[in-house]
Amino acid sequence: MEDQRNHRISRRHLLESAGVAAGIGLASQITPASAAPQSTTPFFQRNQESTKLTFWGQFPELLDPFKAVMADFNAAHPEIEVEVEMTTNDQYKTKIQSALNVGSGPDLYMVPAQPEMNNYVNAGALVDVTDSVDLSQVIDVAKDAVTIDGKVWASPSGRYTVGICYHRNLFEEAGVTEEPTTWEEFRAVMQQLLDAGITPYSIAAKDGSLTYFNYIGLASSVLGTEGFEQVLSGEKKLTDPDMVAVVQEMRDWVPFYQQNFLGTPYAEAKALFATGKTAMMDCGSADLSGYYEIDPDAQLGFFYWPAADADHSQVTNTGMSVMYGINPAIDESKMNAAITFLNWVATPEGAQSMNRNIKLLPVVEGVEPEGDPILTEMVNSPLDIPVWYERWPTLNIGTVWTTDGNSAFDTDTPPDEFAAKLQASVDEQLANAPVATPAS
Amino acid sequence: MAIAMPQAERAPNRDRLALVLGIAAAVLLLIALLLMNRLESRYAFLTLGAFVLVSAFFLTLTYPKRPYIAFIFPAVVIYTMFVIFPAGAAFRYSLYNWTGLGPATDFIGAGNYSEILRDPQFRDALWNNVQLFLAIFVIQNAIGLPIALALDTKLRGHEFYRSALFLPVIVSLVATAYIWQIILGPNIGMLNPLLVDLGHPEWQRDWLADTFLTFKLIWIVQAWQHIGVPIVIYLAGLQSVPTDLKDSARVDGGNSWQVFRGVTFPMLAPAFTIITITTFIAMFRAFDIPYVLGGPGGAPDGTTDVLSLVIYREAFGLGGIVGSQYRQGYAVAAGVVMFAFLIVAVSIQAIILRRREVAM
Repeated sequence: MEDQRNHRISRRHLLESAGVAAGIGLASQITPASAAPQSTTPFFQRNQESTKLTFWGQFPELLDPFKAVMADFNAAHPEIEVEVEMTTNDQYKTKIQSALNVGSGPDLYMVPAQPEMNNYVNAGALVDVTDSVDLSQVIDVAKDAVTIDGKVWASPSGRYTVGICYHRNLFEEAGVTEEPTTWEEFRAVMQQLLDAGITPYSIAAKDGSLTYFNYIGLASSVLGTEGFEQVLSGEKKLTDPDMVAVVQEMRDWVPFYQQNFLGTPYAEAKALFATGKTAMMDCGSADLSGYYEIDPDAQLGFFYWPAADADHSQVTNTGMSVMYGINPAIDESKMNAAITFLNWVATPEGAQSMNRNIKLLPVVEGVEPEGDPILTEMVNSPLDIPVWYERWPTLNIGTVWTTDGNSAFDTDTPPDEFAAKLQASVDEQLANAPVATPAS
Repeated sequence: MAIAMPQAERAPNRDRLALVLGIAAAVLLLIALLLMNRLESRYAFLTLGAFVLVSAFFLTLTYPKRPYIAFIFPAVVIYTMFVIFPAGAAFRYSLYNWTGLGPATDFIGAGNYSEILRDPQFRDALWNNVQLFLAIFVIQNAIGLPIALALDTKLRGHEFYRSALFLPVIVSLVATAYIWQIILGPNIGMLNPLLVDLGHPEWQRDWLADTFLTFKLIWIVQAWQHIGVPIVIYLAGLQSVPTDLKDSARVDGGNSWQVFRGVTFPMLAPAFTIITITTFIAMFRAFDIPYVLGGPGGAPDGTTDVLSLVIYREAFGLGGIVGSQYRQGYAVAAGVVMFAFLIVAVSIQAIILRRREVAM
């Protein structure tokens, strides 16, 4: 009897607890969408209120500079505030994708460059701003970067350019007076540095990062804009003799690289250059502030990738680093504010603010970079070709350098074998081209 | 006039109703999870509410005769929600060409799986995992067992040695890898200058870029980090060997080796099984040390590539320095293949080792 009573009490408890839990769950969901809390402020007053936008990015180290940009925007548009949230680079992608996948996330977010941007467009994770954002003042390379199939999906506001940085004091010490413009001159300069007891060039082959930049820099100088377009379309092969010569040229530079360069990762190679242990290194505009932070008195110089010979042009490679996109899940009442922001960053005023605060190269016509004269030199490059990973056919060239890069320097293997691996990667990409193809 | 149903007839009816409610609860849970997976959160919560109600009736009916069901029910639901269903969903994603963003729509069936079977990087990485396991297996038995035997003799300071040997196990794997990078690194490493100071400059190497040596060094680092585990397990096994058995073997005239061979070693069979299986799983999940010492691309030239690195590369690219393609559908498929391989391999090992335990 006692047992039975206990059972009855327990069952009732079980049922009651479950009923309450289920009831709460059901009640909370049965509430219709229209009953969601809404502002009671009259419409005409609501328009005059400040609109708060949220923005997610991937540079925690640049949180304050981004806040300064938002403050400049707020000064120009006092009715709109933009709140910045940064996540580390390695976690950003997972975070933004998870949020976008469930229809939440920020109002504005930092969009990856093409061809990854295609994934965001195909997944419906970006608002089409073709008719609402004015990019008429933006330079072509930046416009192309946010245009897919004739539609604009983001507002570009910063880019980086890669060439070669050097320590002017080490050049002087070795008696080098002229910046090299061709491969031959470059080899002569490196020999001069080596003879003076200076390690000429810092490179990272372990993760393939700097060897890859070296390759695309030298290859771009051989190809020029037209040749690069031909590589993208498959007409020009990376196994052609003039392209195999690029791999051979990099081999010829081996005596000038730091010792054990094959085992050197990116951060170590940068540290060698930053501390003046090597004279030169592949270098992007985004790297400069880091070098000056390590050595505020560093006497840095910059020159474009040397040309194969006097018939070719020197070149730089440029990539997009900050592009603002709108999350389709944005509250409709905030859409105008978001569009206003995207338009502002594409104006000279917005570009100047991005350059001043974040030290990125401006993407608006006529806006000169402030501060370091190297930045001005970078924007005045005689020939600028996109970084190869921003184009679908050449996307995985870097992967080949990362997973198979040692064989490029293996003297037992002919250089055309490595070139064939690079071309195989291009062929595979061309065979698996996505539905939406990036503008090139 | 109501006819009272006999107690004996009511019970089967209640059991049948409980069974129907149990099935209904399972179906509702599955529907709720599917709706969540399709981001239909409103309907998912409604279905979950219905699931809770049906489950409550089910538990109320089953509690008098089978109270244990009420105790295991929450655990089963949680396990289903957070392990079984995600595993099933992962399998579903593995059938799509999916970048990880937005809904998976490009169904390719077994396309990812057939590509994995043809993928040389997957095959090479799997072989590297096998080599890694075999190397650690040999090292932990050739070095770990003798150390455990030595510690079991209660030599002076054995507690200090035991702690010191176990210390690398509790150090984070990434920290361990960076410690070794500082030792072996080509520009900041301590090993090469040490060799010069010892008068052997000709022994200097680019330790982390040698297609023959680098992976062997990863074996050593992995063994250094892991060896505390087999030592402790063997030590626990040795301490559970009854001393009277060993004593009687000695009385029968057995020398130390014969006692070890005939008494101690067979008694260590369960420890051997545990160590072998856990090492196998650990070495097939190895990621941190190869990632730091070999880089995301398994440098040099893929010789340090392991399965986890392949999966990581396909899912998240190469760390953003040089750009690469993201194929989360392919990465998930690789994860499923790795999971299936581990299940089969571990089951075979467990069966063989258990038989061996019985035979001994």
